Amino acid sequence: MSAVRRARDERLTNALDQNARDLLRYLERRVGSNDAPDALSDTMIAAWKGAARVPTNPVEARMWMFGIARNVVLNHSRGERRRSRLAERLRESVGVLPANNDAAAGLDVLDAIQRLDPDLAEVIRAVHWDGFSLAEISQYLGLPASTVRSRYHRAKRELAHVLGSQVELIQ
Amino acid sequence: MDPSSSFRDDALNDLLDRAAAPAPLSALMTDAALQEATRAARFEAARDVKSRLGRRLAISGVALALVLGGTGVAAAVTNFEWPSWAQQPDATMQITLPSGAQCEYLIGNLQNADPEIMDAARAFFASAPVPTTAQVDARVVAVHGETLAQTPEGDRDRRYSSGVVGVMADELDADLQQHGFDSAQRPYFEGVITCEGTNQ
Repeated sequence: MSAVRRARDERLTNALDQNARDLLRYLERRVGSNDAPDALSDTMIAAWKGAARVPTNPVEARMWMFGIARNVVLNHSRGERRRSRLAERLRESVGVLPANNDAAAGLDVLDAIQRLDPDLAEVIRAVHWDGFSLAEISQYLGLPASTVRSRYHRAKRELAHVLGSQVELIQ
Repeated sequence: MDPSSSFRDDALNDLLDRAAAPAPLSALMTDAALQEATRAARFEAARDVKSRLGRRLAISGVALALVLGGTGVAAAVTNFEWPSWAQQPDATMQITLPSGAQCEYLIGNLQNADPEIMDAARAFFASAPVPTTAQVDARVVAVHGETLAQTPEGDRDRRYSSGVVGVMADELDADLQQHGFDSAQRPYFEGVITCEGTNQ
C-alpha cells in the first residue's frame, strides 16, 4: 500500500472513530433505532468507497460524512434498505433496547416537524436536535448559507403557526 | 422588533429542543463496537467494489481470499494484500466450506489493552478446536434466522465463514469468563481465510 493511501485510510479511520456515535445518533433520530445500524453501516461503507475524497481538515471531514449520512437517509425514505452483516453485529453488541418512557412527550411537536416539507424539517432537526450551526448545515447539505437560513426561518414561521397555542402556554 | 415576538421565538426554540427524538441505541453502543464497525465497513466497501472482478477470477479457478474483519464480517478481496500479522497468526485451522472448497483459516491481530486478557486469548486460540458444522449452523440460525440448508446457495460459503469466526468469538468469551475475565473485554481479532475452488 502506498504511503499516500495509508495516510488517507488512517485519516478516514480517525474521522469515523471520532464521529461514529454522532452519526449513529443523527441516523437514529431520522430512521429509528431498528434501522439505524443498517444506515450507519451504509454510511460507513459509502465513506470508505469515497475515501479518496475525504477532506484533510477534520471539521470538513465531519461535514462530508454527515452529507453521506443525509443521502443514506434520503435513500432510506425512498424504501432502499438493505440488511447487512455489519449492522447485525452492531445490533448484537447492544442487545435489547430499554423501553422509551418518554415516547409520548413532544409527540405533537414531532408531528408538526414531520409535516413540514422534508427540506425544512431537516434544517430544524439539524439545528435543534443535532446542534449544528446554519453554516455547518449548509456545508453538509451542499447548499448556499442563504438558502439554509431562509429554509430555517420559513420552517420556524410554519411551526410557530401550527404550535401557536403551545408557544403561548410556555410563556 | 416586537418584544413579544422574540419571546415567542425563545419559547418555540425551547419546544423544538425538547422534542428531540430519543436515540437509545447511540447512547448504549460501545466505543469498541463502533470502532469495529469502522474497520468492518472498510472490508465491506472493498468487497462491493471488487465483487465483479472476484467472480471472474473465481470462475477461472484462481484462489480467492476471504477476509474476516472484526468478529464476523466477510469480504471477498481479489487483489488481496496479506496483513502483516498473517506471517505469525495466533491460530491456523483447516475448514471445508459447504461448497466443498478447502480453506485455510488464519486468526490474529489480537488487540486489547490488558496484557493478561491478551495472554488468555492467545492461549485459547493456540489450542481452540475447529468449530463443528453443528456449531456453525446454530450460529448462522442465530444471526440469519435460517439454517445453512435453508440459506440460498450463493450465500452459504460466506455465512459459513462468518459463522466460524462467530463461534470462535463465543468460545473465546466463554473461555475468558472461565478464567475470571469479563467477556465484554474480548480482544479485537481478525481472520483471513484462503480457499481453493470457491465461487463466492
